Amino acid sequence: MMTRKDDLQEELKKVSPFLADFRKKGDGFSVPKNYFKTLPDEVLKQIGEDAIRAKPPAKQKGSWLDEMISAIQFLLQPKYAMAVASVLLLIVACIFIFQRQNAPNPLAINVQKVPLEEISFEEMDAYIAQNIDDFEEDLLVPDGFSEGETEAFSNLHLKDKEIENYLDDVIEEMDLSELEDIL
Amino acid sequence: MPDERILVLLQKERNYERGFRLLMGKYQERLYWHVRRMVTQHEDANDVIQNCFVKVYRSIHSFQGKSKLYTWLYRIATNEAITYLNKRNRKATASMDDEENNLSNRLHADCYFDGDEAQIRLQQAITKLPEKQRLVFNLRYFDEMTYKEMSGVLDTSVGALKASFHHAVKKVENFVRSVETF
Repeated sequence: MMTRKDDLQEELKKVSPFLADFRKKGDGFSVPKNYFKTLPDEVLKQIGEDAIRAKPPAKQKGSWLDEMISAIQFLLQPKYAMAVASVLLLIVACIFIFQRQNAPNPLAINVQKVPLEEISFEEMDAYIAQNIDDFEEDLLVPDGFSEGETEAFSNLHLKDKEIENYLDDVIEEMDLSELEDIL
Repeated sequence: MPDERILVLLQKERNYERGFRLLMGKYQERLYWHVRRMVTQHEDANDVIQNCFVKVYRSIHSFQGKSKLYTWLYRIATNEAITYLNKRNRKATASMDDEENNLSNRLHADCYFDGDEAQIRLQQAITKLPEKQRLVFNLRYFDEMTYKEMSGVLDTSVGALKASFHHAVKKVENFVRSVETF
């Protein structure tokens, strides 16, 4: 079986017998002693040096004050400052709304419940007089009047002057002793 | 060690350096000489080959296995060497004749060149070839690469590569013989 060398020699003999013979001299080149033994180490050393050159320098650690100043300067950049301000505003708004919801109404009256039997007639009369418009007329039953009379009164649309005239007439007709009792 | 085992080691971070050293141990000499014949001087070849392997270290994960590993490696090395030569040529302002003299002077001054005048003429002849033809000549004449393997490296058909090599051989022979007969 022909080797590569044999194959080449056969070809050269056909094309250029001169060079087929000349080839035995070689090319005359040489290398330093142990060159190929040390070449892998040289290549790996270069790879390591290139990697170190490509790596960014490690940040030197300063004092805690320097680091804090750096952090503040970082946050003061417009885009970060806007974001921080928005978040703070949101938090303040939430606190404000929450507190408002839970705060007591200052206008609210502190109502205390009192048993009915402890309320005097004078207090009742005063209350009724103050809030007469809130009462329904059919609930207002005067003492001594029958239902029919009460109904008759509720249908009357009397003016104040007319009522006074009527009362004057009633007073003139009353006995003196009855009038003294009432007054 | 078979390429498959080396590639398995290169998949795990803890084995990466070991796999990489094995890869270099297997291919570094072939790739170095390939680069050396293109750039001629050892210092230049050393720079190029180191750049080449750094690139391999960083991009081995992108090797998809569609071609053989050494084909992929040769491509990287070839591209690195061409990039270097283009950069060097942009700086050069000398004429072709001056370039021949410069190369001769460089090889004479290079402590890692042990050849005689005939071998210097051979290098001069190779330097005069067009870039791709130079690559074809070196890969076939010095590296004994088959045309099929070369096709994978240079992405050119076998027929075109064969024709290119035969033309290069004739040019180199004529140049070296012309000096000898002069």
